[in-house]
Amino acid sequence: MPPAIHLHGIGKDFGSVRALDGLGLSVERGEIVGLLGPNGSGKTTTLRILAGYLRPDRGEVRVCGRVGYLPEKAPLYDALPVTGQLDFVAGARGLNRAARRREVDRALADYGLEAVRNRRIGTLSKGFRQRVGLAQATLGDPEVLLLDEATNGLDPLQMVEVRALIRRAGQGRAVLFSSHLMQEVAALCARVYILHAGRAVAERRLEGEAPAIPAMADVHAGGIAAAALIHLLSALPGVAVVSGADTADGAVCRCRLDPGDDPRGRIAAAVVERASLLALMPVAPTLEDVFLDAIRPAGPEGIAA
Amino acid sequence: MTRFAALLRKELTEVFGTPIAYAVLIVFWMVSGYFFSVNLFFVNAAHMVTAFHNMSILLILVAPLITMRVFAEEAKTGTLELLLTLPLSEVQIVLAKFLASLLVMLLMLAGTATAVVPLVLYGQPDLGPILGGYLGIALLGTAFLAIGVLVSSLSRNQIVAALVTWAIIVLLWFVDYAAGLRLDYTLTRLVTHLSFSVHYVDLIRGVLNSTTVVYFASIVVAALALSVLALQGRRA
Repeated sequence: MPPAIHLHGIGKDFGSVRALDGLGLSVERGEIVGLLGPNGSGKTTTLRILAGYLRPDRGEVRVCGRVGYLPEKAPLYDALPVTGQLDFVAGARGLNRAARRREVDRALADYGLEAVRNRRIGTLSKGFRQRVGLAQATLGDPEVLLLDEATNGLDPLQMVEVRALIRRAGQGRAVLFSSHLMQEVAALCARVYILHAGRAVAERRLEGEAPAIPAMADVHAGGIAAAALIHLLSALPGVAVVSGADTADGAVCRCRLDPGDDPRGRIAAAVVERASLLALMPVAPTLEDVFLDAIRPAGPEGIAA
Repeated sequence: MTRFAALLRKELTEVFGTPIAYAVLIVFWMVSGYFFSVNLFFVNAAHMVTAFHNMSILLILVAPLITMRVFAEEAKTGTLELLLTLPLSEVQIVLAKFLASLLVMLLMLAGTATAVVPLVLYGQPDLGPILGGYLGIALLGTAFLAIGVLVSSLSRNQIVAALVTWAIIVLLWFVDYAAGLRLDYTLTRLVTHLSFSVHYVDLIRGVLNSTTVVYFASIVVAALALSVLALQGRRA
């Protein structure tokens, strides 16, 4: 089966500003994929193209099935009651009266909106507005869900609630979730594309088993100073020392390991010869590491992403 | 049809869910009622030509207020993005907004029809011209609303939309003044034909000829077509 969302070589200019520059990505059904990037990196433009709001200047867009879209600011009519808003969107998606009633009731129940069903949207809190926006995006059971900064501007409690609702909404659907906050993407997504200057500069899998050979490790040695430990480890092939510090019982160094040439044995042997090896612990890279790596220009000191 | 009905329902709920429609209705009824009563007692005439005159001036002031929010507000609050990403055509969107505005104006005019009651009770008015006059003023108002919808589709600010709509209506109202500049024949014909005031004099007397109907119909069609193009332009 082809992916539910497929973008290839997408380009989009606004006047002289190049918003997207050869962006490519794909999302399968049943996965929540993150779109991570700083403001102005092209996240919103990408989602708008997928939603059909903007036309790309170059490239190929394939979307299989209907699309539910929640823009950054939930597009709601303050004068309408919650049911009126949902009924309108369901009707605009072509649902007849009976189907509308069913869908609206389902959405109200799924997104915890029954208590506010007759309230005017203008009187709702930001958290409830976001829920209405999410409920509205799922009306008519779309196969694809596009969420632009959906947890932005919520308080911590609302954030947790909305995240749970997004997970539920994502079941069986292809979801593309944009954010400039790494922890939001990490909390929701199995996979992430990192956007920078209108291109997907990296793709990372965030869940699943840790790799057999860690890309990073902390070396903790007793009876040696940090400077000596750094000197010792730097000399080993396949090891790049990132940082080092003295501890009460010796020193600890964070090292980047070359996964193609497992250097753990060499590290252990070298440390044991000079001092005592207290620990050799794999370190999972944080999304911050991944992100900064991906957008860092690859100079002589740069480490390939 | 389901989609268009949903759109129209939403427009009407919005129009009558905000105070603008009520304010416009009440102001229009009060002011036109005042003019009508004063005129009735002083002039003692069982016709409505003067009332229609006053109503058309009032309409110039009030019509831009009915249409100013239709697109400007959607653009400002971001709901236009929802409208344009739902499976709705630009033609449907423009027509729904136009029809909802038209309904407010027809209510406005219908309210003034209570004035006909004392005329019938205490005089022998000729109802033909009165009905014709209402039709005429409705036609005039329809053209104002179409222009207002177009201007609102080009703005994100309601006040700006109202002002520009008002300016266009007033300019079209007085454009025949330019005929006094002794322009060449074609230009004189053109500015005369473009003028609201030239056509509306026939209208409020209840005279409907084909030129007038074609004139107003072309303004409505042109303004709505341009609104559709303006919406399509937003997707670029």
